[in-house]
Formats: sequence, structure tokens, C-alpha cells
Amino acid sequence: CKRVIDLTPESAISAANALTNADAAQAAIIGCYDGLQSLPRTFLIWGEGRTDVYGPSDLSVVEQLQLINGNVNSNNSLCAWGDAYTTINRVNNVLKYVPNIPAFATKESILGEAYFIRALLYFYLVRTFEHIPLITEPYYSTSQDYFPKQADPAAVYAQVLSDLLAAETRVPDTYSLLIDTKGRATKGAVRAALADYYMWKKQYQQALDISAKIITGSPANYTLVPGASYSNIFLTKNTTESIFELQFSNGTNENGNTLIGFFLPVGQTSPTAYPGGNWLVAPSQKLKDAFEPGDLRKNGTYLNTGSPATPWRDVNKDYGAKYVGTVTGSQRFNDCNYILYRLADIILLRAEAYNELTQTGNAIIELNKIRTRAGLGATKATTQDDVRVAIENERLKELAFEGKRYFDLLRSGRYATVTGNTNPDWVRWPIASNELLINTNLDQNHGY
Amino acid sequence: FLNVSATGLSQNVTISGKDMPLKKVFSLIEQQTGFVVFGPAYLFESKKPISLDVQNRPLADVLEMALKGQSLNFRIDHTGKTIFLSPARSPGTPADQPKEAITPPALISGTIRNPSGEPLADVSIRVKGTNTGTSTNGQGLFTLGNLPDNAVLQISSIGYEPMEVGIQHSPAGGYTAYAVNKTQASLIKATTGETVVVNITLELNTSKLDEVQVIAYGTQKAKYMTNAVSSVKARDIANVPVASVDALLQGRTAGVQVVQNSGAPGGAVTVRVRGTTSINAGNNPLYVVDGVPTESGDQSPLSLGTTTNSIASINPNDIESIEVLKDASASSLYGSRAANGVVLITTKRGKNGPPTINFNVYRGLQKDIVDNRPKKLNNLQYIELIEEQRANALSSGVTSLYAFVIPDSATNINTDWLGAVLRSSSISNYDLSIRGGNDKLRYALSGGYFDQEGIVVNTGFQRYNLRINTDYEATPRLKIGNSLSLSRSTFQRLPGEDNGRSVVRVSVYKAVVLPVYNGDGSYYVGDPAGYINPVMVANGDKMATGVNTVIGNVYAEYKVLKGLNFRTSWGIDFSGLKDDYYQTATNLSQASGAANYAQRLTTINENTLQYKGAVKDHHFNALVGYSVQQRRTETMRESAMNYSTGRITTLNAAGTLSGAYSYKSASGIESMFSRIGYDYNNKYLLELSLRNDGSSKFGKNNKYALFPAASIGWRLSDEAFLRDVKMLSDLKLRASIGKTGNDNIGDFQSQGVYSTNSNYNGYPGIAPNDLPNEDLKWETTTQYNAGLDASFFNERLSISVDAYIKKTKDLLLNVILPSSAGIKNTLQNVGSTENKGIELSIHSTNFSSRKFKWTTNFNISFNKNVITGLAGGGQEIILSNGTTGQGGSNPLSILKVGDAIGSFYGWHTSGVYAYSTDNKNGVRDLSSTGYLFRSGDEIFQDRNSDNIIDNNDRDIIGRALPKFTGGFDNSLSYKRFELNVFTQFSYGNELYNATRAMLENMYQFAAAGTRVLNRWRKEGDITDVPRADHGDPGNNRRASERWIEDGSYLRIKTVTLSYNLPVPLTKKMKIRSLRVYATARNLLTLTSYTGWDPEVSAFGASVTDLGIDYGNYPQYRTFILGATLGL
Repeated sequence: CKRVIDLTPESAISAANALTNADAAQAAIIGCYDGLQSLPRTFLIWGEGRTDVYGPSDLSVVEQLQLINGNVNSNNSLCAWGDAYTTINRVNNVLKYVPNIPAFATKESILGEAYFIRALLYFYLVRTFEHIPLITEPYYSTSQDYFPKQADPAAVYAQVLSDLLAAETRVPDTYSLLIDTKGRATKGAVRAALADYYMWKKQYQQALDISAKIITGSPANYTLVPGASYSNIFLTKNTTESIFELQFSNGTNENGNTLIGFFLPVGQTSPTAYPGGNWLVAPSQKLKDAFEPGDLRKNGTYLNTGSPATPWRDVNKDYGAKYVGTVTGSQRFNDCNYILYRLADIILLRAEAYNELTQTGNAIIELNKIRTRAGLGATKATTQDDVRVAIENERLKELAFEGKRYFDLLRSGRYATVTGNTNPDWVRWPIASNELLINTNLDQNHGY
Repeated sequence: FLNVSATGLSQNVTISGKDMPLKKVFSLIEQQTGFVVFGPAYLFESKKPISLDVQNRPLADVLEMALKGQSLNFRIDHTGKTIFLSPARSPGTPADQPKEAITPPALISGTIRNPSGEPLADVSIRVKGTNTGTSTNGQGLFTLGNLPDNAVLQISSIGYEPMEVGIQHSPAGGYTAYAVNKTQASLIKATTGETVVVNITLELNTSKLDEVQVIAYGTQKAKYMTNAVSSVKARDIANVPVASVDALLQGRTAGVQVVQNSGAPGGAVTVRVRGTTSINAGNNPLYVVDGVPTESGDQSPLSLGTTTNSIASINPNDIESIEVLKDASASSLYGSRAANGVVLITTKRGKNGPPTINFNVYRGLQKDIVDNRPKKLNNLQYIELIEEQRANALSSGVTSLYAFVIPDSATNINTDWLGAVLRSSSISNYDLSIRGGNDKLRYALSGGYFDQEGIVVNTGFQRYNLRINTDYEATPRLKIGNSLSLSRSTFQRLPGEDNGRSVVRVSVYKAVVLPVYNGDGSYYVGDPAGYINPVMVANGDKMATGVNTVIGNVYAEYKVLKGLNFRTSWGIDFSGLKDDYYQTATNLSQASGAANYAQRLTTINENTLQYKGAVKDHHFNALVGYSVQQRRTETMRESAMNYSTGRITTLNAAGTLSGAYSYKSASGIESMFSRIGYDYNNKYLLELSLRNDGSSKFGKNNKYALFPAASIGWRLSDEAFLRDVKMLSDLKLRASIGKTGNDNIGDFQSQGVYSTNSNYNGYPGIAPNDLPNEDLKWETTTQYNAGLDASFFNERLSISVDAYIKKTKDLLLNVILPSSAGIKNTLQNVGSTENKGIELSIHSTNFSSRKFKWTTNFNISFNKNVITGLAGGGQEIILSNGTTGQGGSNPLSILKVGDAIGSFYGWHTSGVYAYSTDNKNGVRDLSSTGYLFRSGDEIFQDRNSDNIIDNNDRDIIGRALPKFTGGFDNSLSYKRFELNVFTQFSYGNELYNATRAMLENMYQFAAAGTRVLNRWRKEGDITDVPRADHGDPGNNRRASERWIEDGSYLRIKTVTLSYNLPVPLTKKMKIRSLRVYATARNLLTLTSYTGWDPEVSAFGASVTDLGIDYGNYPQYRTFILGATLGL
């Protein structure tokens, strides 16, 4: 008879017994992806806030207006990095405990997935904040050091690279289910992140080499969807173009994608019921103007609320249309995916790499693949400088609302020129003021 | 021949002396044994002097020796602690003739009166040790026959001191009657003859000193208490029209602060005994119902909605008394759960006597106080305001605007949303009880039904109760019995204050220009501000909670030896709760629903061994006990959507399952405890206690904790130097010290659990959720208490004062970790708080005459709370919840070392800039390039003078905890009328009026309060209401002093006027008694607070977000009529 003071939980696992077998390892890596599911809005805003992609909607308030005009301060809740580190801690648990489990079929693959997720998160964090704590051990006891200082950015980048390389050898080419192949770490996904990394580090040849493996290497079956179906990339999910996209479903007991509320206008009830969102930002005029006539991507990128409107309600306003979820009856489900890497992105990165390596001819070939798909003619740019701008603009149109623009402009050093945000401190985000209060070992970034 | 009763196993006596008068011997015996000697006065006179030298001999033996040759018989009654003397029947006296000696009087009759000389009806008279009994008629007359020899009549009537009258042979022939339970045996006027006629005057039951109070694992007379205990008796709380017992404590007990968080029927009540000690681990006292620790607080897992209150499952009319154990020595026997005080609820039990049947009924009406409703702009004023908001926003540089079109129809619509969801509603209560018994078996059965409609449409609370309490003296040594309460409560709830579908809050904020219905009669659901239609939600949504509870125990008490008792009890506290939730479909969302089942079962076994004894003037009592308790919870939850029809709201009508979940958890406590009480001569009192608790909840390095306590008392009034002070009835000094604990945390929090449900792609996932903490332990509160009890003028005036310091350390604080840790917070034993205070209660009989009587109870409690330490040596924790009403992420509450829990945090303000040029320093918002404050903006205080208004300029702007609270209760009776006026007050607490913040922020498309008519509109306007601006670029609406108000109030809580029908009338009606009464509740409130009601706490369950008024379910006024019928 067990004593009443020695009870153990029945519906939860105490930490001591958590990661001790193959099933637990599998569940723990799923928990890491679950952590990523809370991050689309963060990835998106870190990756393209403070640029020229967003304009104000009627519902934009201070936080969004800061994203639009670039002047983000440390009280802005969008500076919060907690969800990223929550996921990093989950990954660190996997990487610490799973190696101790006796060998099982998916062991290496699980470790590879963990390395990939950790690399991805640190890559986002270091590009956004530059000065961040680098934590590679899980927290499992109250006696550990919870107040780390910020690491040298070079050390973070080194960790990102080593994690990506560790992942590349371990993860599979494909999984048995399509949603896993698109939604979990594959060799393609890891290589896309590596290409992104090399581009950021201006290691253009390495970027070309690794991205070539995505296009030609196994599984080598990524293809651009036809331009007329551009919007399907976002609406039908997991297209042939997709390399890695976070999966969302309207199934039970899973997270929804909060991006829907971010872009969609407020719903209306008549003449037709339209379940809507919070409409926190709208497409900027610059983005709308960027689309040339006949660009097949335009309607996949933003739409108009139309007219007539119901009383009290706006008429003829534009809203971002890449994340709309599905409507069943009059219910809107937050089940759209969030794409981190897709082939068009990689092709444009390759164009950029060629151009920076002064192989402008090759760059134009890559660029035109995307223009052609969009139903546009070949680029008129010929010089390296013009092609650089042309690629930048093409990325704006191709990848708007996909969280790329801020990093693109920082990478090219053209942030101030393009956005007019000349404050030199705006090339990195402020550390959230709450973080500084709790961890006094952190230093605020310069200028905040 | 000595008539020693069979149970005459004795207490021991030591007497040594020569030629002592009989009186002296008896007085020594009385002193040493506590027994009272009684007999006709003449028996004590002219007897032979007595010489005795006995050491520690049994009482019976000593009496036998002492009375040898005194021609006296004695009989020892141990239950009544009385020695009866009667003349010995020596040969030759007439009394010796057997016939006459044995024959009792054929009949005894008499009249029983009150001290004013009025005959008393319905007085119960029983012959001790028999089943014979009767009661007086309307003229106070009774007659009894078939009496045994030396009969003792037990006379009792509610409100009077019980009395025993012995009938004995007189040496002069015939019979005499004596009052036995008086310290001085006194002759009652008796006329002898064939029928003995006695005239008896009952004394009013006024002595609180001899009242027995329930304490931890026992009872004690008030005058020997060394602890701080407040007591509320049944008569103080009878038939007050509230659902739950905790609400009844409000204003009646010093040191207990009670806040009814809202007017939701059956809703939660915040009870704080001597301040707030804990930040994370809960501050509810431990409720113990008839010895069974009982769950309190909100038990519904449905986080939406107005909260439920598990104490509401107890029928207030079943309650005999409520004792609040306040200091550590009173409560430390409850160890790890006692730090917030212990509330002992004792239910009514059967008493010897014929069955008394009581039927209570009351019915009444409830209505909110219409004049206090928030006042809103009408449609034209409102349209003008929003046009102005937009125009000002444009001029502030906000280019994007709410481009809605104001329809022409708006000028015809002026919806009174509150009027549409509020109603006057009914309350009713029916309660029937039968109680009675004999020497062997006593029973108390009761049943009740309480039905309260809410003042918001489709809300309400109903409760059905059954109670069976029995006690059976199976053998002279074995007593068994039970307490059992069954109840069924149902709550019709509403989405809560912080929920988007909150009916009351939305009705406050919703624009008046929107209609309730479309032209076709369907609900109008469009709202640019995104608010739901509250009328639709109130009528269409369903949030019903049904709770079945069983609270009870069975016990056995065995008299092992004289003075040594063993008691074992087996109890359960069970509740099975079912929530049914249905959210009606709108054009924008499907109907959805959920069903939850939550079951909680606490089983407890307690075993105690108690000893009472005395050596000379040294009195001892000792208690040792063992207790083991286990609590198991199970929850199940399913949610679904896509309903086939709006008519069926249960899940079977839904097409899509959207969630399914079940969970089990458990905790256990195993304890040993002991207590030793000692007093010398009833003057010097000492009590020591110790409890050792082991708990499953805590880290393996800290499974057990010790909770010691000690208290002393000195009854000064029994000292020789004060005994002759006539005005002084009682004077006692008390002091105590002790430790108690608080274990109120999650079941397995110390083990660092991985949580489930971290799913992806249809695969189940797990994730670390918590850090294991092997050192996790109890919060420990050390409390020091000093008190004084005094009463004067025959207890007409009694005063009790207590001063205390409560120091709580090792707070179970959720230490917020840097988010780089990946785990949000971890529970650690860090931080400390301190509460100190003074309590005063006064009971006074101001006037007492035959016809008119006036009594007053007054109590007042001062408590000062201060946080003395926080995690990691930090100085403050700013809480990110309570952002309510801001539309931004401005925290509202702060925990700061050196300040009290419940402090509001924000910006100081000093009016509004009349001219832009008034901003002389060029103060900007947030940064040196931020928004430049201009005319019409709020003037926020720039505390660090950097010309930037940011988080560094925040300060504590208000405090939610009151400086003092109390109650003032007056009863006036004139003949058969009685008027009771109960007033209750709170002083020095501030409120954050978030309701007003929402109505006056002037940036939304929500309704606006009439105060914004004073808004700044043009350069030079001098006002304290800023500019209307849709952009609100200066964030004028932020958490600032502008929304803080004084929440002090004095409230006439209940006024009751009652009338007792005269006896001739009840006689005619063939009933025992009938009382009719009318009660008004919340009749009048004096306050300067401008909100709906100053007694409010939107986040009542939160320790830190106190005193926030946020569109709460309003308090209301109640009028009832009722009757209590006795049969």
C-alpha cells in the first residue's frame, strides 16, 4: 500500500522519467515542432517588420504603427523572444537526453530534427537582436544559472552552422507522409537554411553549392507551381514548391496560426457573412505599386474588401491575403500553414549569389525563372547594381508577408536607403524591456 | 446508607483540616473538582464540624468520610458535575417511613417566567433520566405526573439559561424544590401538598463566558480560551438572504475581511483572515465542516464565466456556529493548511427532548441600484464624440481611420443595453428541520431549497440540501454518530468579466446607436468595435454548472478510562461538477459547446485520544492524534462545434469534435498532532500544541514539517485583588505564538512535470513545463498574538482586543525566469510578507428593561500588509495581468518590497494641458523622438525629469487593501417586535475604475460615459478630461491616477424587522411559535466612489489584482418577507 505522501502523477510525466524511451523521444521532438507553431507571427514580424511592406490599417495601434514606421521601442510586445527560447529549451532537452536512450530506428533523425530547429531559432534570434544569450543545455534544476549574459554573435553563428551541418547528415530526404516531408526537417529544409545562412554570411559560393543540392540533389522534386496557381502555394498548402512549412490544421488539440487575425479585415455580417480577423496591418502603398501590370502574384498577395459594405464598415480596403485559413459554414479556422522556405526563395537567393559573385548572367537567368512564373517578361536590368535592385524588388513581390524583407535589406546593406529608416541602430531590434528587468546581466542594444 | 450513583468513579480530592464547618469542606470540594454541591440551605447549617485528612482520594470516598454521622445522603451526578445532598432518613423521623420516603409527589406543576415576570410559553420541561416531559402553555403553566423520587426537572428555552430543579422531601414534611445548577443552591419558591407548585424564573442566556466554542479537535469554554477565535452563532445569521455561508461572515467578525466580488448568484466571495499572507499559494482560509476539511473557492474547470463557490453548497440554516481560528495557537493543529486561518463550521445536532420542528420560508425581490448604473452619452452626443475622435486623429497625423459610415438610422436608436439585460428577480428559500432525541439517540434532519434568480437575465443559483446528523450512545462507554450533508447546486452563469462575451461589461460599453434586433426580429450582431450583442448572448448562450456534493463523516467515541476518550472519524468531501457550455451561433461564428466533468474526492481518517484530569488545582487535558487524508481529482472535457440546430445545446447535436481531454491528479497529507492544556486553579492557563505534516506535494528533501504553538492566559478577574471589583465580570490576558503553513499549490509541482498535448501534425507531443524542485516546501507563517478579554457590569459590556504580527516566509512564489530559460517560471520558496493588525470587538447591552432592549455589537479591524522580500532579492514584480481596460500592455498591479499586496502601478497625472504651450519642457511619449504631448493631452508626471514619459515614470498610484474594516450591529426589541440593523464598512481602500476607463478613453467605437462631455475641445479649455482622439497618440488612456478612486464605504447591509406572534394566538393556531419578518439587504451605501458599487473585485480569485472594477456583475438590493414556524 503506497503512502499518501509518496504519490506520483498519473496524467503527467515527472521530469525524472520523461525522456527514457523511443516513444518519449518521438513525443519530445513533436513537442519541439509544437513550440515552433507559436512562432509564425514572430518569424514574420522579425523578418519584415520595420521595412516598407506594411501600411496602417484602420485598426493599427501603437505596436503596429511602430512596425510600419520602423521606430520599434523596447516596450513593443513583438520584441518578445520567449517563445523561441521555450522551443530551444525543448530542443536542448532532446539533445541532452535522447542520445542516452538505447539505439532505435529514428534516433539519429530525431536528433537531426532537433539540431535543425535549434539552428533555425538561433539564426532568427541573432539576425534580429544580434546580441543574445546562447543556451545549448536544457534547464532541469533550480540551481542552474538562469541569468546568462549575451554571447558574442560570432559564437552564435558558429553554433547555427554546426547545428545545421549536424542536422544535414541526420535528417531524411523525405518522410512517408507528405505533411511530414513538408512539415518536418528534411535534407531540403536543412539545406535551404544553410543557403540562407551562407547568404547572410556573404559566403556566396557555399550558398550556391548547397542550394544546388536542393534543386538537383535527392529528393530533387521541388518545382515551381504555375503562376496562375500562385495563391495555391498558401491556400492549398504543401505544394511542390514548398521546402519547409509549419503545419496547422483545424484538428483537435493543436495550435492555430495567429497570422490570420493579423492580416484579415474585421468580419462583416451582411450582405454576405464574412468571418474576419483583427486587421492589424495592411499592405503598404509601395508594395501595391511594386506589382507590374499582369503580375499573377498580386491577387495571391493582397485583396480588396470590396463594396458595397455593411453600415459602419469600411469599403474598398486592401488586406494581406496569404493567410486566410479555411471557412467552413461561417466559421473561419486558423489552419493556414506558415512557409519558412520554398523554392522561389531559394532561386532568388541563388540569383543574388550569382550576382554578388559577378556572374550577373546566371543571376538574370535565375531571376527570370521567377518573373516568368509570375507572368512577367524578362528583367530589363543588366548591370550588377541594377540586377541587385531587380532581385531585391522581385523578392519583395514574390515573398511579401513571408518574413524576408528586413533580413534581405540588412544582408544587402540597403536597409536605410530603401526604407528611409536612417537610424543606424534600427538594423537590430531592441531587447524587450521586460527581459532586461528580469535578467540584469543583459545589455540593451545600442540606441534603445 | 449512601446513595452513590453507579457512575460514581470519582475525581480525586485532597482535604486536610480539623473541625471544619461543612460549608468549608464543600467549598474545597467544589474548588478541586469543579463539582457543585447543592441541597436545601438548612442542610448546610448546624452540622457537626468535620475533621479530615485525605490525600488524593476519590470524591465519593471523601464525601462518605465527611458526611459520616451527618445524617446527610449524597448523590454524585457526573454529567451535571453536581453533588446532590438530601437529608438521611434516620429511624424515628417521619421521613424514614418507607411509604412517604419513596413516594414522589403525585403531581408537580408551576409557572415559568422570564426575568421581567412574564410567563413563558413553550418552555421544555423534562424529568432527568426519563422520557417524561412537557412544555408550558401560553400562561407559562405546566403540570407533570408520574415522577420518580428525587426527581430533577430540566428546564430549557431558547434564549434562556437552562436550569435544573430538584424536587426533594423536606424534613419539615412535603417537598422542597432547588435550583441545582447555580453555584449557590437556592430554594425555589415551592408550595407543597399533594401537588407541588413551583414558581421558576429563567434567566436570560447572556453569559458568553460559559458559551462553549468549537476549537480544533474539540470544544472549550470561552472564558478559558487563550487563543484568538471569533465566533458567529446561528442566531446572528439566520435567514439572511444570501446563498453562501462565507458571505455571512462579512462585518461580523473582527479580523476577517470579506468581499463579495460581484453580485453573481452563488458567486465567489473573498475571505481574508488577518490579511493576505501569500502571493501564489492562495489566501482562502481552511474550511472545516463538522471536522471534515472542505474545499473552498471556485471549483469549476471552466475558466470562462463568473466563478462558482463551493462553500455555497452548505445551507446556512443548518449552521449552529462558525468559529474563525485566527491566531497560530488556535489554528496550528491544522498545520500545513492553517496559515490563512481556519473556519470551523458546526452544524446543528439533535438535543434531548421532544421533536422541534422548524419551517422557514422567505421570498423576495432583488434589483440593482438603477441610479448607480454607469451613465452613457445618448446617440446624438455619442455621434458628435466619435466624429470628433476622428477629426482629432486626423489632425494628430493618423492618416488611416476607421472609415465606417454612420447610418442615418443611428440618430433614431438609443439602446439601453443594461436595461435590456438586467431585471428585477426573485429569491426564495424553504427550509424544514426536525431535531430532537433522548438520552440515547439524538437526531437532526433537515432539508432545504434555495432559489435565487440573478438580476442579469438567465442567471441564477439553486440549491437543494439534505442533512442527517445523529448521535447514539450505544453503551455508557461507546458513542457513535454521523454528520452527512447532501447537496445539489446549480449555477446559471455568464461569461466572466475578462471574457469577450461578458454580458454585463459589454452592455456597459456597447454603443447606444446600435440596435438590439434587425428589422426581421433576429439579433443585430454587427458592431464596428467588435462587441457581441449582449442580449443575444444572455438569451442564447448557456453556461450551466451543476454540482453534487457529499460532505460528511461517521465517528465513534470510546471512553477508555475515566477522562480518557478515543475518537475515530472517517469523512469524505466529494463533489461532482458538470459544466455545460454552449455558445450561440452568430453570422460570424458557428455555435460551439463544451462539457466538463470534474470530480473531487477527499477522504480523511482522523483518530484522537483525549485525556482530561486534575490534580488538586492543576487541571490537564491532553490530545494526541493521527490523521491521513487523500484528495483525488479527475476531470474530463470535450468541446465541439457545428451544431445541427440551435435548439439542442448538448454535444450530441454537434458535428465536429474540437477537443477531448481527461486528467487525473492526487495529493495526500499524513499527520501526527498533539496538544496539552494546563491550568492552575482556572486562573493561569497554558496550552502547547504540535503538528507534524507530511505532504505529497513537496520536494523529497522537505516532505515533513513541524508546526508548534504555545499560548498562555491569565484570568485576572479570578485573582483575589480583583474579585471584589463589582463592575468587573471578567478579565483575561492572553498571548500566543506559533507556526502554521500553507501548502496550496499544484499536486505535482515539485516534480517538474512534462506536459502533454504539445501536438503537431496529428502526432502527440510532450514538452518540459516545469523545473523539478526537490527543496520545495511549505510557506511558513509565524504569528504572535496578544489579547485581552474583559467584561463589565454582569457582562452587559464586553470587550475583546487582539494585536498580532504575522510573518510569512518561504513564500511559494512563481519566480519569473528570464524567458531565455524556456520555462516561464518556477515555484520556489522565496519572498516574505508581513501582516500586523489590531482587532477590537465590543458587545454591549445598552438598555434592558421588561419591554425594551437594545444591544450593540461593534467590531473593527486594522491590518497593515507589507511585502518584506521577493524572489532573488528583487525589489518588485510588475504583474502583466490586469491590463484590463487599457487596450495596451500596461500592467496595473505591482508587488513591491516595502509596500502592500494589491498596489496599483501607473502614472501620476495632474490634469490636462489647456494649451500646447503648457508643455514647456517639451515632454514626449516613450522616447526623445516620440509623440510630443500637446493641448488636450493628460499631464503625466515626469518623475525622473528626463522629459520623456515612459515606464520609468511609473509609481504606486493606489492601494487596494483597506486600512480598516468592520461591522456595527444593533438590535432593538420592544415587546414582540425586534429590529436589527447591521452595518458594515471598509475604509482606505482604493479602486481602479476600469469600467470608467473603458467609458472615458474616447478612442474606441464603444459607448462613452457622460463625464466625457467635459472633455477638452479647444485651446484653453481647462478640464480634467482629455481630448477625444481615435489615435490617442499620447496614450492618455493608460493606467494612471485618473482611474483611481477612493473605495471606502459604509453600507447598511441588512435591516430586519420581525414580530413574534403572542402565545394565545399561537395556542389557537396549535403551533409552538411563529415569527414573521421583513428584511432589506444593501439598503443604503455611503461612498464617494463614482462606479456602480464600491464592493467589487473583478479578478476576485487573484491575490494581486485586487480592487479592479471592470464591468462586474453588479451588486443589488434585496427585499424579502419571511416566516419561521415552530411546531
